[in-house]
Amino acid sequence: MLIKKVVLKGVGVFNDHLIQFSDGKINVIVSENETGKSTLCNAIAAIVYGFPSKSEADLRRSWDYNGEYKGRLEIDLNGSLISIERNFENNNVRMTKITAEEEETLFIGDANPKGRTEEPRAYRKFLDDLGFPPETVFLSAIYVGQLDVEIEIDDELRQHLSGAGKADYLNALNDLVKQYYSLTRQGLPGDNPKRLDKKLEEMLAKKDQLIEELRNAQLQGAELVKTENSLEDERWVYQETINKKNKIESEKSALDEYLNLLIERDSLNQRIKLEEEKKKQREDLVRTISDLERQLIGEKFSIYNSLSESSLQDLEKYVQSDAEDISREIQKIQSEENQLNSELNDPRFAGFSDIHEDIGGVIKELSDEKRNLAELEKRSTNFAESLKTKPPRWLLFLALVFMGLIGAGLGVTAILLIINNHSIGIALGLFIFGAFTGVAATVLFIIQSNRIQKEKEKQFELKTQLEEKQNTYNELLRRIKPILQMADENSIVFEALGEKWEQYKQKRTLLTKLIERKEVLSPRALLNIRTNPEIRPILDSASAAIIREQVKEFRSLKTRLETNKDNLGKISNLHDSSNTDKPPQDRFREIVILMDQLTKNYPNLIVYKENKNTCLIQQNRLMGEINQLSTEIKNIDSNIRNLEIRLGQLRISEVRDLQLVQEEIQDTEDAIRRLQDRTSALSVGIEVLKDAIKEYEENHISRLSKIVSTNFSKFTHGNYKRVEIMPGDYPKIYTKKERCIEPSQLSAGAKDQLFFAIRLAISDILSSEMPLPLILDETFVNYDQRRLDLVHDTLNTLVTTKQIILLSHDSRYKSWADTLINYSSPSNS
Amino acid sequence: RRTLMLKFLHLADLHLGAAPTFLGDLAQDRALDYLDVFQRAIDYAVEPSNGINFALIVGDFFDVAHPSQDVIRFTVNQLKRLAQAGIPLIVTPGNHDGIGAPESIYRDSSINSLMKVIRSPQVEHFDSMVINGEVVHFYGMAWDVQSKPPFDVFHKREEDGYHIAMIHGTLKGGLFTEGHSREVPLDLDNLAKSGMDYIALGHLHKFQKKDAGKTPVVYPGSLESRRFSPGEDGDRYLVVVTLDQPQSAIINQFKWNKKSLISEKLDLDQELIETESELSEMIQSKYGSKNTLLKLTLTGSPPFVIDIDALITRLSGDIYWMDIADNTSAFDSVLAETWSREETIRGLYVRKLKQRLDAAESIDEKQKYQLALKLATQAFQKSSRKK
Repeated sequence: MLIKKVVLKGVGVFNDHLIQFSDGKINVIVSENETGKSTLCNAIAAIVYGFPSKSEADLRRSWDYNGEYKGRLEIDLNGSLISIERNFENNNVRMTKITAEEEETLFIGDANPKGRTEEPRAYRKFLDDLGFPPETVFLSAIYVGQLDVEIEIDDELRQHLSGAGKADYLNALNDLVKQYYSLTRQGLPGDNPKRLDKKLEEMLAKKDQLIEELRNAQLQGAELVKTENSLEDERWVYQETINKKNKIESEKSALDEYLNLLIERDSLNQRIKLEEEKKKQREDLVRTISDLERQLIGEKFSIYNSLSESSLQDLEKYVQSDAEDISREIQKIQSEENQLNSELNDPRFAGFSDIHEDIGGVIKELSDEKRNLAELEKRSTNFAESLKTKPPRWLLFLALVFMGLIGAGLGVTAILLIINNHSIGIALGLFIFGAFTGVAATVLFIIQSNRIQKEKEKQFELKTQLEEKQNTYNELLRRIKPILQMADENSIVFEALGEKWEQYKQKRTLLTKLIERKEVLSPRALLNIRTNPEIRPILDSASAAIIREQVKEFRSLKTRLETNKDNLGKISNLHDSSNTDKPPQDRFREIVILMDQLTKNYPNLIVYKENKNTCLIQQNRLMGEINQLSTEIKNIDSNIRNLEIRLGQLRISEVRDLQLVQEEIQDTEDAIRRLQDRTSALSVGIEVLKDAIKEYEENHISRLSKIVSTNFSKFTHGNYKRVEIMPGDYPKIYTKKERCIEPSQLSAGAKDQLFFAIRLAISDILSSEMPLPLILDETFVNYDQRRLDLVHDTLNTLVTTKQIILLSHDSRYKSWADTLINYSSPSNS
Repeated sequence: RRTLMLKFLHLADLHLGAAPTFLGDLAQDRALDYLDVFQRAIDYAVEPSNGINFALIVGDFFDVAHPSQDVIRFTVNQLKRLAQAGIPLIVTPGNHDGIGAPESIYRDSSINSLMKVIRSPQVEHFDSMVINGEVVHFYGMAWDVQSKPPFDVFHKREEDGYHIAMIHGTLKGGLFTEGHSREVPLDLDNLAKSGMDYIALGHLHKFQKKDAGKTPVVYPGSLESRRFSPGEDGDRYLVVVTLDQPQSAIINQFKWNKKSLISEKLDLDQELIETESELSEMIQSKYGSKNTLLKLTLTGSPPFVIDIDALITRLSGDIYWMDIADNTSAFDSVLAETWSREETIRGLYVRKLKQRLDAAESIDEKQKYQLALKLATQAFQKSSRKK
């Protein structure tokens, strides 16, 4: 596209202006600041695309011009001359193709850039078909504003690839990622999750918490209602149980009273019966007593009755003993006694009566001792005899001394022989023999001395034993001395003596027994009784056997009389002691009345009237029931207390109203939904943007590198061979010697050349279907002359392929101009 | 026949103590509004020239069953004013302040001595009073776990006087009904058989009046809206009822709300808006008020891509509270259309996203791509602004 002509009416300072451009040349417009250079640039885009908004359009409108507000652009588009005319008031556009012969209308109608109706859409589509890039790209590709001294090639590149304006796709991407991670900790595809929870997780946690709260509140509410109901139930049950217990207790107390009455009634009944029985007994006793008394004073027993008790007892004693039989036996015993006495007084038993102990054992002992003594005496005599037969002791000792002297003599001889140097052998022999003889004599001497000592000791021992035995024997002998009389002790035959003693002992024992029996059989009392004047006539009146029977009978009657009198006395005493009470019959009547009254109030008591045991059973049963109810009441009371405590706990616990929690859950869910929508939109946005960046780079970067390389090589006259555009990094520049350098290593002039190379390449890529002119608006205002010269050189190379329009207030550029344009005066075209 | 007339306030759904959580930091500030409108209703009642004889509160007097001590204290003070003016107040608990709830306010003696509370779980005669020389028989119920339908049979006493029923329930065919666990369904046909002179309903927050046979059946609505749910937007009214003959009520409504809930859709295709600032100005001029709670849904396809966060920030000083949902189609905007033609990364991005949008089947998925485009557009624009 080549700009041929621009006509502006009522646009900024351009009230009615025509500006014409030439192609293949540098078009220079030198004008003071604030004289519409920017307006011109904007107006060119605005004619094609319209002002971005109504307010923008209003802003650009000339304030001192009342005429039309429009613009027209004539361009050469692939050899065709196209005219675009736009009314800025209403955005109506008329596009025509101008040939020598005619003007062909291509579009006429509403071309509002924000228009959403068919026509503006159609216009935009039409521009697209003609190869116009979108307005944003158009402006970005066509327009180069003031450059900094240092050009950040990398930023510039990214911004242009991102889209027109100063947008930066990496910044945009980072922004989306940052936004995403401000919402959630979940990792984007390929990323690890973040450590800390973010809004979304916080909201989810809050929701969980709220749901938990809701659940708790529901549970608590339910529990509270349940507890209240349970409490009410328990209180009711408590009251019911208390009532039941009270009822049973009153029933029991009635029963207790009834039972007491029953017991008293029965006891009274028994007492009455007992008293009747006693009365009868007493009557019987009185009768028996008078009967007995009558008998005792009767003919048969009157004689006994008149006796004193002691006389009666004597009589009994007498008649019970057999006095005549006894006197006969006594006589017989007497004769036997006499016989025995004479036998014992026999001379052969002389002295026996003086011995009072049983000496049978002693006699036997004496017999044994006499034998032992004789034996010992014999042994002692034998020993003394054996000693007499041995040689005298002094002779033996003499022989031994002699042997000792021989030994000593031999020893001395041997020593002398040695001293006088005679044969040592003989001397030694003599010496040994002498020594042996001496030693043997000594040993034999000692043995003999010992033997003599022992014999002496044995002799002494025998003597002592003999003396002891003799003493024992003499002692024993002394004990039986009286019966020995004058007899020589050596002539005594102890065996015969022992037999005689046994005979004497038997007789004496028999005699003692007879004397004892005689003593028993002859009580003098019986004889006295018979002489008692009270008793005598009775004994005389009848035989002892008859009297015995009669006394026995009398005694039995009298005992019976005493017993009956005693019993009568006892019965009377019993009767007296119970006489202090009210008469039992009166109390009995009272009790019957009381029982009747009770059964009126408690009719079921009537069944116990004649059954105390059943009543007792019932009493125990009621007692059991009362105990059981008391336990139940205690338990219920404890339940109630527990429920009251729980109720208190539930009531004071901070639980929010269910409705409010539900509402907050709903609000939280809304917030979560929004956050989820936003995170998933961000996630997909990031994914698609990354995808777009990757695809874009794959499709365009190598082509871009190629175009930039060609341009840069051309601008630097081959000093640099090629440029590699690296997405997200500095471009790499290769010198003609293939040395790789970074843009920062380039000189300022070379950087400018690289900048233009890139700008042109981007322009080619962004607007591939339509090569666009380049409008340089005060672009180099910061440059020094040397750098400016280099730029001029570059532009001169560039202008062969691209229309260049340079706007500046600086008159230095006038010299660059192939076409110098002056718009200070309105045109009349 | 009757010469005397009765004039009373029919209130319901006051929700004292409400602090809607969706308002976030503003919840506590908003809570004061409910107290404020109630206080003004009491001001009206105690003003002798208004001639109010008694007042009814038909459910949801409080927002919760056990409101805060501050709310109770405030309420006690207001009720004392009514009592001092000799105006009886009859209250029936609602689903929010259910009498069966733990720690119910209606077990608090400090407040119960100042009003008569209907406590029966079934509909029945509650009390009869001589008011302004007329015998008035009140009927009603307080929902409880023991409550069993039907709730619209009143067993009217065959005695002279006015018969007024109070039910916090849902009328079949009423506007903006909602289901909940303590549902009290009411049928107009059954109400028609009640023989009541006036049936005072509560529960539905929008004013509505029906005729059940000859009996007027009225929902007064709330005095102040609570949440963004159907029937909550628009003005609220103080309802003053005048009964001068059986089954004939004159109902006067006074606009009473302090703040308004506005829930609207704004189709930007119908508006001549070219820039975001124009949109902001338009919203401001349409809804801008410190007494507005706005829930706005933007639709259509404006030429630009809306930055909602920026828009809300710009409007935040002009509207009490707002929530703006952007349901516009960014893909149809001129901006997206223009970008999509670019041989740039953002152009490619828009094209790729558009492909996904076209392939998307569900509305949710389409919304996701719309939002992805909006967010990316903002990111590109921001990245440009940074420079």
